Amino acid sequence: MVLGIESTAHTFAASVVSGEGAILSDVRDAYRAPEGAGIHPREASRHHAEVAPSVVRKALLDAGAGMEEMSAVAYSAGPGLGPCLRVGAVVARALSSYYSRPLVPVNHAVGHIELAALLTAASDPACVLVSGGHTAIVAAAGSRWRFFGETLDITIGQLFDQFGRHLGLASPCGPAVEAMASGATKYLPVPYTVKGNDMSFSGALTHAKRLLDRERKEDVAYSLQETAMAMLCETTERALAFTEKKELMVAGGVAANRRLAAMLGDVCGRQGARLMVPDGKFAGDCGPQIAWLGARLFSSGVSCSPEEGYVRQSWRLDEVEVPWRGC
Amino acid sequence: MERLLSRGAEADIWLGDWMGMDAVYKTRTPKTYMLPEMDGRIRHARTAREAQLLVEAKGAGVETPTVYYVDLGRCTIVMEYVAGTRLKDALRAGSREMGASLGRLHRGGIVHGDPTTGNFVLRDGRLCVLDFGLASRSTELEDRAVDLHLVREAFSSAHQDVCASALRSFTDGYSEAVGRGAGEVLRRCREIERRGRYSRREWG
Repeated sequence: MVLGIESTAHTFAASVVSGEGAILSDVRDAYRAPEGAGIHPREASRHHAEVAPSVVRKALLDAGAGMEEMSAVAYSAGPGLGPCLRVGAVVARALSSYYSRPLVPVNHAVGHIELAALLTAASDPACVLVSGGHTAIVAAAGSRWRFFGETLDITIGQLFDQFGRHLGLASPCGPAVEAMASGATKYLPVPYTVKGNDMSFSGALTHAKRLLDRERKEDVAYSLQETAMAMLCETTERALAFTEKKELMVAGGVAANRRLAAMLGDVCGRQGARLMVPDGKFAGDCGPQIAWLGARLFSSGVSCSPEEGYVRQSWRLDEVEVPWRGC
Repeated sequence: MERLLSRGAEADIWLGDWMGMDAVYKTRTPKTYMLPEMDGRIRHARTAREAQLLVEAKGAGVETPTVYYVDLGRCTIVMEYVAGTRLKDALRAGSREMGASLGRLHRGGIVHGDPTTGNFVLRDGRLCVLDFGLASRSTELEDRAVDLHLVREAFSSAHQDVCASALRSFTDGYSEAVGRGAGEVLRRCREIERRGRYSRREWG
């Protein structure tokens, strides 16, 4: 069994996962941003420090296991917000040194992907990773997850968050923007920017904010959502055509968007691929993504001492060796 | 039209006949996941621009398929059929010339927009550039640098084995074709990559 600790952004979570991938516990506590504001890293990290002991204790209790039975402690080492990451790392290092358990630094983004692969039982998928921190299409090649397309500026999660905050909503705004879009009556043209396999959303955001001065917010939300999702779908279709992968997973918080799932289903139909969406409750940030990837990495021989248990705020997922993904 | 050559993400490519010559029919089919008004606007604009740029690229000294006919109503371009080896399968042999072709395009005021190795074909020792579907007229440093970034991305995702050496000869070919100013584009390309999410530059 491996204990996993997640603390990259708004969520502090802990989970115990078995070496075979059984999720034995999943405890989360999310920091809530004030209305109209984003995640303040300092406030979020204070929240994490306050809830950490009870979240970790409950994760062990729910799993019916003690620290002695953990073969390793995995923690999200990045990418993410520095102050938040450091809380998780401090907790993990303390547990590791007190109980003499090896420490496993885990890349949060690869965690999203590998958890989705576990839950969907996909064997060789491409993956759309879409969240507040990522908007990318990746596929495994040569023992790493590699980028086949990604955003050149902000992510779709940030696009919805910044648009929502402009309207006075609290982050994360994705669900509220999706709900708002369902009340639309017309489509307004919004800049559509695809460069090769890459996307850019900043122009769409600026334009949408300006449209709010003279159009109904429902119509703007709808047009923004349709345009952003269409851009992601077009690049996803290109990546599927290029890599010839026959499975497509969706991971990350925005995977919960129903319109995106419907559009990607259509993309898969066109490219003869199968859309595999994990259970929605595992779409967002959670402990199992850290615990499961930690377990896999640990069985591949990855671990470090507490002295080496750093965090890396800008840790790209294509730097991580995933030997089980072969060539 | 006789035979479907490929069903891409962007268009269907048919092999057919045009006045007794082998010809490629490139038809942008509706993207069913998009709103029809968004889809129609994008397909129409891309077809017109692609046909124009295929012709303009020749003027810049870059070999491209000759355009025979454009049917905007059907979002279809009829063009020369280019038989040869895709650079996808012969990167080692053609990366320098790939750099040179892209450099000449840039010098001629065109950015390709999708310079993957599947879009370059070696024919009789010369490199022909295909698929101007995402190309545009631009002399902006930023747009040129995005082209180079896309090449890097294509090399590192699909050609890990030869990536480093292919990139070097690509850069040589590009710099030679562009002349002065190539360094500036390469610098901007690195800047774009630093700007990207979780840039690898921060980690050396």
